Amino acid sequence: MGFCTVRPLIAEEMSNWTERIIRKSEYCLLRLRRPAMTRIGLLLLLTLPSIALGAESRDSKVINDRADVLSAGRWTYNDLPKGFAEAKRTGKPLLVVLRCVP
Amino acid sequence: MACAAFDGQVVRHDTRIEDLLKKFVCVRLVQANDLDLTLFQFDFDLTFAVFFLNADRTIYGRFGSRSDQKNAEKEISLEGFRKALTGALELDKGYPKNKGILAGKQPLPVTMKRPEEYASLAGKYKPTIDYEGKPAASCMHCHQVREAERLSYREANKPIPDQALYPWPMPTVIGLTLDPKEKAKITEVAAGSVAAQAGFQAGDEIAMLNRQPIISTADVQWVLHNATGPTKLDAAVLRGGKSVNLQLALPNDWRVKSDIAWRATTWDLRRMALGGLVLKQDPATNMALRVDYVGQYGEHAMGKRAGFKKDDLIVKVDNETRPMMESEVFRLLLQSKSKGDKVPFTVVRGDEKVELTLPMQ
Repeated sequence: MGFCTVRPLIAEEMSNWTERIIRKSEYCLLRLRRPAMTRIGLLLLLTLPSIALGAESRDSKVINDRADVLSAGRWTYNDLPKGFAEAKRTGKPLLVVLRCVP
Repeated sequence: MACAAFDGQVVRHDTRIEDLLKKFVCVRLVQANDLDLTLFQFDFDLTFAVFFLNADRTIYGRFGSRSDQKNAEKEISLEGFRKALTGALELDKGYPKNKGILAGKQPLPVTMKRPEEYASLAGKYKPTIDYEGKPAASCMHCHQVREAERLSYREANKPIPDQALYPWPMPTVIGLTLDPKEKAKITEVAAGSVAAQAGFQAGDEIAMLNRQPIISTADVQWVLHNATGPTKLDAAVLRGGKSVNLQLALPNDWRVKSDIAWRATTWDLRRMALGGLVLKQDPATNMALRVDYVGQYGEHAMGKRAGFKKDDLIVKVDNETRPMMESEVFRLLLQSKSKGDKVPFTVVRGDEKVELTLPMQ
């Protein structure tokens, strides 16, 4: 992801977009040692494409997760009532995974 | 991505667990939107968590634990997961005769039945992910539930209770280190800890805790999460093939030593209590807290505006001079100070002491 992934694990855990943008901006600024105006200019140049790419990547992850899991046919996806109905029908217990994808 | 490797193994039905997964109806939920909080009560900072339950909504157990920011899979393993699956199937086999011992594993009454009932989340998310529009942005994350809960206290000018500040304590807080490859087998007991005082030994396998059958570290955490000190918890451990009964005495404030620095939700606590500062134990003194990071924007820059600088050593917070972890500073301030209160800090910067005042948010 380039320059702005200074602290990728922390950034990764931030799901709220506002917080993510603030964090990315902050960590990028921390790395810069230039006058304020230059910092802001560089910040915009460097973070916006990165954030845009990040957004694409996050959306893709969500979409691909659903597509991949559904195509494998082993999981009931985002449909708890269907899972309960299946458990009642088969007599099997349920295993529910709660997963934060993006 | 945190837990991605482990999640991938589970979702692909890895050959090491495939035979057991076939015995379950497998459901994958990837959103907290409209999540049933009357059923799904877990560590909301996790990015991967598992519930074992039956069609009657009776919970057999939970799986998924974390204690580290960088290594999200330190506390879990496929071997341990396999054992938890086996344990859940055994409990299912014994149902409903075992209903009595499962009672303590069931969800507790909650104030909010859905995340969207919290004021800070109301109206912001639809019940389902918008796959045709903005999937990621439309997905509510589990950690937002914990943040919303804390905000509800803060906005009402009420202290944030210990359970919300230090959720889902790891067993290390009471002195127990568990083997991630087992259900709940003890590898180490910290000398002088409450666990040591109770008689726990390395090699013991926790079979029952607080009259609940234990099939994972997360099950131990469930018991601890709901234990408000001072209290006593009965335990049964398997030691050398025999069952040994123990009693764990948890003192008041036992959970305060939980290190919550790794948690995503701690970011918002730092905003409220520290104006965006990140504090770490000073390696030189191991006593004072060092400012490791100063937030730069918005409410996370309150510390910066108050005059804090990176590497300041905090030696006094609101007349409190005892050594504290960052997690304890949150408690000190978020249980005694309201939004707008101004808290005096003393920091050492180079050779001089500097007095600063930090507004609470």
